[in-house]
Amino acid sequence: MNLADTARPATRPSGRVAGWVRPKTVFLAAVLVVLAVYTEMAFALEWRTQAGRIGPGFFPRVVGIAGVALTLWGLVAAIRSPRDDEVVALEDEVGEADLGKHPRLLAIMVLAAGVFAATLISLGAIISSALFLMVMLSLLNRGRHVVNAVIAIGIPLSMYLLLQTLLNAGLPEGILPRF
Amino acid sequence: MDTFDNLANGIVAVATPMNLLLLLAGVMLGMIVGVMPGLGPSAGLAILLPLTFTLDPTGAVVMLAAVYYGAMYGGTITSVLINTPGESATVASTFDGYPLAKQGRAGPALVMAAIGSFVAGTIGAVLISVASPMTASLAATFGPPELFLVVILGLLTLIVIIGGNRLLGALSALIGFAIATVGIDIGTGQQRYTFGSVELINGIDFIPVAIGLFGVGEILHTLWRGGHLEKLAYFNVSARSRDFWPTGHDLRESAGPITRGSFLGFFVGATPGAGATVASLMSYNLERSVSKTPEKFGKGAMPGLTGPEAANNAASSGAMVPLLTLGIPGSASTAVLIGGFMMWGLQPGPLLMTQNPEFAWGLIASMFLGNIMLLLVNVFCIPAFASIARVPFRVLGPAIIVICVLGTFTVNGSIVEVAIMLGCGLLGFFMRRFGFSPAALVIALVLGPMAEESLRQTMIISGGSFGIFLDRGTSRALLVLMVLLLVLPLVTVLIKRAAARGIARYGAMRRRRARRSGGLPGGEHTPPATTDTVADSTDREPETERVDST
Amino acid sequence: MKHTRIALASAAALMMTLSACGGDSGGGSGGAYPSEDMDWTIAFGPGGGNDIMARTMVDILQRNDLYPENIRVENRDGGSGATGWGYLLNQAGEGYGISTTSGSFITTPLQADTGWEPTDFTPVGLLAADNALMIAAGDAEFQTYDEWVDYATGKGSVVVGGIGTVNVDYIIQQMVADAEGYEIEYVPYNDEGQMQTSLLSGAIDTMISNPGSIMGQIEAGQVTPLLFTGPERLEALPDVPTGEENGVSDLPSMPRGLILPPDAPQEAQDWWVETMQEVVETEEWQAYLDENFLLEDERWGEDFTTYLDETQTAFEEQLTELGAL
Repeated sequence: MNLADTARPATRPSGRVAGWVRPKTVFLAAVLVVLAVYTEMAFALEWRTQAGRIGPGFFPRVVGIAGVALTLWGLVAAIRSPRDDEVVALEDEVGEADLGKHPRLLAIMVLAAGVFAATLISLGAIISSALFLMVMLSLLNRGRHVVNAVIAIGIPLSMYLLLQTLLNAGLPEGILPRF
Repeated sequence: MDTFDNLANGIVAVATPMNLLLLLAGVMLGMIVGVMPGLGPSAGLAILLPLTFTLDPTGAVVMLAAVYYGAMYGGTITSVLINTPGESATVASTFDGYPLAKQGRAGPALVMAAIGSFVAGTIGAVLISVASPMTASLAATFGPPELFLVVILGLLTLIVIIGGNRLLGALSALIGFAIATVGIDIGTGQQRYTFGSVELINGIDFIPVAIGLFGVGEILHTLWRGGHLEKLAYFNVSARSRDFWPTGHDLRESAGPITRGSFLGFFVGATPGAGATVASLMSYNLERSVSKTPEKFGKGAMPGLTGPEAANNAASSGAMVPLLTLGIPGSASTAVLIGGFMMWGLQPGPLLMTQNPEFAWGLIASMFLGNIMLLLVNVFCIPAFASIARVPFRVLGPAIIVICVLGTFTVNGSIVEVAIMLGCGLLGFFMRRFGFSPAALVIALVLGPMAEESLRQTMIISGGSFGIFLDRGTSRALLVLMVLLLVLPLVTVLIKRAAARGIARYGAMRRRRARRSGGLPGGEHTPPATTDTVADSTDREPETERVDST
Repeated sequence: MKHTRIALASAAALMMTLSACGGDSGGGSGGAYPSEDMDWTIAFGPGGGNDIMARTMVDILQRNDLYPENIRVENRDGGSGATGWGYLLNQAGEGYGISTTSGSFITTPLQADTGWEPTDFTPVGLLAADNALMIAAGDAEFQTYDEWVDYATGKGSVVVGGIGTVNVDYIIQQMVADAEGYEIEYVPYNDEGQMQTSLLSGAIDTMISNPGSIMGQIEAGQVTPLLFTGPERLEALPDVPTGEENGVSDLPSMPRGLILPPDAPQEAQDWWVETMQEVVETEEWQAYLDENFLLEDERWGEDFTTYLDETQTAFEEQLTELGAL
């Protein structure tokens, strides 16, 4: 599991080279689909109320149609001049070291966060956040086992003590006893 | 001058050792709660309100005012350090606060924000004493048409915020408007886009969306770019403690924005509804349009942080005016306060100030003292908070995700909101990567429902006619203000250009004269240099404009 | 000072919970009814009407040592009460969850698929009825109910406001208009504050508000009460006529009651009915009713369920007639 290191050379080109399907085009297409469904549903809502005033469907229709139009425009622009998003990315990263791209780590983080949220209630706030921290820290902060363990237990515990024990703000205790 | 006596008496009455301790405890507790993403001032107040029921009303109000200020400032800390606004009023603080932190200027940014809040809070306390009758009568002229126009004033700031890519920025705002339509339609009671989920009938809240788009999105983006491999800290923070403090330049640069923001914030904050959010956005807009270096905004301009900070703080004083003089809550936080009043057996209303003057002035005095306490606490705490910026990303990143998840969950105990938050985190990552504008999305999300609701109310009232905007005095004044705000940036650009042209001409004249007289004398080195930079900026200005408009 | 107090409180809470946990494992069903902590759900945020009522009750229970164990109060806000009462629904069959009700308890299931109906829960009782006032601005040209009716019928159509659409406010405005023979344009608001400034700005002619939240403005003369929806005049406002007196009968009110999870044990229901009958006799409760201008209206156990059922059916009919559902 030498993820962080292997990820770097393997994935570096994918962010830079224009492949068969460019990420931005895919994202815009996804936005287009969502907005199209949104607009479709907006037409099921009334345009005007019985009294002839602005109805519940008015704003969704305006927003939906404008959104679909702008997304289409953005898609056309993105397909015609693929370099634009490179410019944006470069502008953003001025003065920052290029450390490669890490889509696999990103995917693991997203997945781990999803599992974390899904187990929050059943396992409880302390255990599920400690597990999440342990997994992520063992990937990102390699070799520092003691530090990682202290952080992974310390942060969830202090959050729980502050929010639940002190302020009674409602964190799930899960399989641990409530305190 | 009676009011000043009242304020002074209030301060004397409140400043007992016990109350000062409560003030200190409240500020600290508020700050700790406010630093949790998700728990902004209104949620912080709500969580801590039950703790104050054991105190006498004065002690309770002292503590609550302190909690309120502490939590507001806690939200600023997260806006600056981890790009996560705690409530909609601090969205504007992320625009320049976070870039400042990334440049290693987290300390100065936090101190300047605290100073801005302090000055604004002080001006606000004085304005409550002096201007509340006038402001109250103004607030009482606000119906749906006026609220609609104020919201539109706030939405106009989108033009400034979208910046870089106009097309994607506008699309971001539309996505925000679309998210805003989820929930029960207030006009008819019909459900829109809830897919039968009970959790969604009150709509999608600002908090999980903002935490996801800003906080989690930023973490994911940094991870994708390899932030965990950085040898040093996440930010380029220098270890020298001197760099924690603002420079004289920061102070001079911020004096104007803080003063303007305070007055703007107070009066906008007094309008029930949009208040602090619109005030902070308008201040950002204003500072950018009067700035000599508008191109620095969004890249770490101190006035872009201090103006909105002052505005949202003054707005919280402004919101006290309708509360104390009309008994009308002007914001979510003052609504919680009204609940507290009733718990203590106080009747909120116009007579509160005459029947319980010691209480009302005690409240104003505690807000004032809370500001002082906040500034004092900050002088000691900012180095500690700013040192968060020195924790390496590989540790800070996962920790922030945990804090975001737990913070979001505690607000309503809703796992659906946690899911929305994480989903928005992913969306925020893609939006950042492809040049969308998360800020435009959240502003549209906050102001969109208000715009829709107030426009629909207006149309019911007027029977469908737009003439209502011209029939009502306050609404007419707002329309004039709107036109002014639209024209102001154009006018300042023209004036600046004319002035620069004048200076350039003068410089060229001097240079010619100098050349004629045979070489520059030693002492005259500086003037040509300044004329050159001015000429430079005049050359650059049209160019940046062209980039913007494409 | 504050910190030590909080620390002490939390330490005490910790001890209690630990001892409670120890007790749990022994066998919860064995002992007499109240042998565990009570999990008290407030379906709205702190500071609202529901919150104040719940905390007043808990305060009375604790001050008089009526509940032997600990009571944990938690605000489970969201979905106009759907979240909080949904939480109670999930405790079905248990006797240690409890919640206070308000108007949304009836109206929320009408407009959303909450998965529960008011009649699903085990009733403890209705404790009070929350009636409303019809309010005009203090500088309006009509300052009494009769003047208002003259004004409205003279104009034919007037603009009035209230909170929400699927709500009693709408029903009240429409019932009065129907009885007096004028047309209304109803403006729904989300927020009491905005509605109040709206009234003061002259954008709407009248609005509906609760006496508790508007009394301060009434005393200051900023607004004028025109009509009270309760069966008798309020002591604090002896000059304000009731709907009944003007021939508008059966104006709806908001039920302020107490419920347990569905299918709660009989002993739990009995214990709470008995205890609450003691609570409503206390001075503190009477003071609460007076301060918040609530009318005493007690219906225990199944009477409460019947009342909820009737009220909901009536609301549903009226709102369907108005086209709001």
